[in-house]
Amino acid sequence: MTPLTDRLDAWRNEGARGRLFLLGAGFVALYVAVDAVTYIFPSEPFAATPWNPQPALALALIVLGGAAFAPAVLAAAVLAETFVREGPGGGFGFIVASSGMGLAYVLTGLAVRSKTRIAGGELTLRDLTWFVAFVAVGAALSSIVYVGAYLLDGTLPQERATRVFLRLAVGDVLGLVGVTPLLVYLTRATLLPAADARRRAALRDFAVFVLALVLTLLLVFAITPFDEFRMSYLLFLPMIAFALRQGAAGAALAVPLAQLGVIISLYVLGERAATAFEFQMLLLALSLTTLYFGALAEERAHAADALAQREQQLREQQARLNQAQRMAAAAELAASLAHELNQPLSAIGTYAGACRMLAAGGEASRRELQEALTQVVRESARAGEFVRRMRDFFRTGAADVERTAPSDLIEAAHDQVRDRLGRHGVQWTSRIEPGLPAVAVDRVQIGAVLGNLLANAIEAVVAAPPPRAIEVRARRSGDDMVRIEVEDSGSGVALEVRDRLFQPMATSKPGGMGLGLAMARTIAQRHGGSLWLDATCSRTTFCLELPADDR
Amino acid sequence: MTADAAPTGDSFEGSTVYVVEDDKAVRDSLLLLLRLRGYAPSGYESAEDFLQLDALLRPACALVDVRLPGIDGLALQRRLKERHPGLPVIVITGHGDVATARSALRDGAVDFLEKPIDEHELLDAVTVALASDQRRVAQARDREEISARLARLTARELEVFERITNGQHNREIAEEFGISPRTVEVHRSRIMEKLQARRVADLFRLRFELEQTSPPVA
Repeated sequence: MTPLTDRLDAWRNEGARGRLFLLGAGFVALYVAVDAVTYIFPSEPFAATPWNPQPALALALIVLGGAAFAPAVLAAAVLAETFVREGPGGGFGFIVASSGMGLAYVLTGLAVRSKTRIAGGELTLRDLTWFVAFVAVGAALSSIVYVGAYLLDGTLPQERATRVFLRLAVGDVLGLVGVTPLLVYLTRATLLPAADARRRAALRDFAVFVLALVLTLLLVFAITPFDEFRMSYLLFLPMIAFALRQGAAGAALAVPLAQLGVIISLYVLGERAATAFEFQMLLLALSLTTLYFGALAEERAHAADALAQREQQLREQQARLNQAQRMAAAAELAASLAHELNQPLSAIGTYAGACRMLAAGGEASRRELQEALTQVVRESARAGEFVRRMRDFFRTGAADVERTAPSDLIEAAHDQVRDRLGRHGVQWTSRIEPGLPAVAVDRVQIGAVLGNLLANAIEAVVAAPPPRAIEVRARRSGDDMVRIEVEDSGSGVALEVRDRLFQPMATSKPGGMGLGLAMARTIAQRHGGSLWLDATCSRTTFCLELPADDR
Repeated sequence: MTADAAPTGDSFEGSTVYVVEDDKAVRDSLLLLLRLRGYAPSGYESAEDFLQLDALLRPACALVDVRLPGIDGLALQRRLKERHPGLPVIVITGHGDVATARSALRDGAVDFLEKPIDEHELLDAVTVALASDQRRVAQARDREEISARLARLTARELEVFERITNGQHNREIAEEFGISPRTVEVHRSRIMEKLQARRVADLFRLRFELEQTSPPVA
């Protein structure tokens, strides 16, 4: 169903004056009819009733449709006064009172329309507070005008003016506060949640609420031997419960029902008209409490929704970030693989070019040709070895874990870089704590990690002035870990690099294994260990911790 | 590829090609190929090693790998500009990223080769690089020769040479120095003789060549 507000706008744009007029006329008829039906307990002989829902029709029409409907509201007020209340006497008071009252509703409606978002179906605590404030002022204004006009007119005896004013004002507030939100929700078709499951839950809640309300009313008015007013606080229970469960829309539905229930109960009991004002105040407290609880529940639900949405967004963002990091790691890996393969390929190509020339050189260059061809074979073996190593490295499934002494790992890594250390005159020290437990690791993978750390260390010390030294230590850490530390005499890791050291693509250094510290850390973590840069040491120290295998 | 197995007969045979590459196999293969092509290649494992050379044999060029331990290829290229100005540098990279190439070429690299290195591209690049260095060397030699001849002029003769090549007449020069036109004439023939010039136009050419490559005389 299209919300009434949208349809009103459409009609206005189309210039469908006939429809607008029909709506106004329908409203006037409804207004008079509702006034007639709820014309109970008039404070005889004067026409002030304890519950006036018809002003809510006027207020809703102005809130939804704007000032254009002011004439309809004024007409309805005057007609109702004429036919329902049989406006006492034919004096000027009758016209002033009824049209003044209508004008007050129009002003209230315009204020609510401009200051709150109720017309859009919103009922937050802020909207509700403004709404209640405007309604209170508007009802007081309309009642002052009404009572004042009849007072001056002479129709209303002075001693009854206060009583009539209070009953009228509170009755108006009750009707306006109680019924307007429901009317707005009805025209916007947002009374029930859109989702099927929530709609079913809302209907079930509503059925339970109606049952509870009827039972409570029976308890309060029919069964108890006490004065019904004493037990009326029980009405708060079903109201608050329903409002908390179904929010502002639930409150908007519950309040007029409760008001209707109480008024009907009083009507049936009949003789309790004397206590009508006390019941008006009870209903006012009940209505406001319920609406506020409803608005509160609504805001809480909105906040929870927003939070859930935000969390969802964060999760998606995190997922995208992870994806990007994986891509970056893959790109870095691909670049380093390409580099490693390019070296032997390049050498093979150049050797082959040389071989072609040597072959043309005849017998004289035969020995050289053989040597060059040997190099070609060696380089292709090197490329193959690299491919095999990578395949091992990326082997899926369980890692090839075996019990290994940390000293073996360190020695194996040392062997790989021994030449380079010698060439650059790097002093090598390894200190292994006696009685160190073995570790359960994949030797290829952890070998690659140590190789990476040593390659980095060599680069760092070569770039710095001598004396150049690398020290590797292995010791127990805590009860169940073995820590291997690689310390170099290089000039250290720049502060701005430190933070993203372990991120993929962080290294732009030439040479090395090219596997990157990110990959090395992943391997360490996959072994149940960790890898980090020890910032407390004065020299660059990378720490690799692996779980000890005490057996 | 065409069968061009014979050594090139170009005029750069015997020229030095410095190869700075840390990977032994890549380096050795380049050295072998270049040697077979008639060049005199010389290999270095790191930028530091290469920078220890005080003087280079010219004409020459350098093949420099970007990824080097310690000082990398691009840094080496910048240092060579100060240490051996004019030495043509060919940069080699294992991963042809645009940023590295741009940086290398901006710093004056004559070419940029990707691994695996194409033999023809390599030899073309080396030929172009050596040609440019030879031009440079020849120019430097000419300039040195001219400078040597100029050095034989006396201070007054140098002044007169400058005035003549400014387009001044003998009479004007005589007035300026307070000497007779006849004396100016004597200076002129001495200058022609010392600078091995046959015509006055030759003097103008010498002056022009000097100013092309070095600050003005006097």
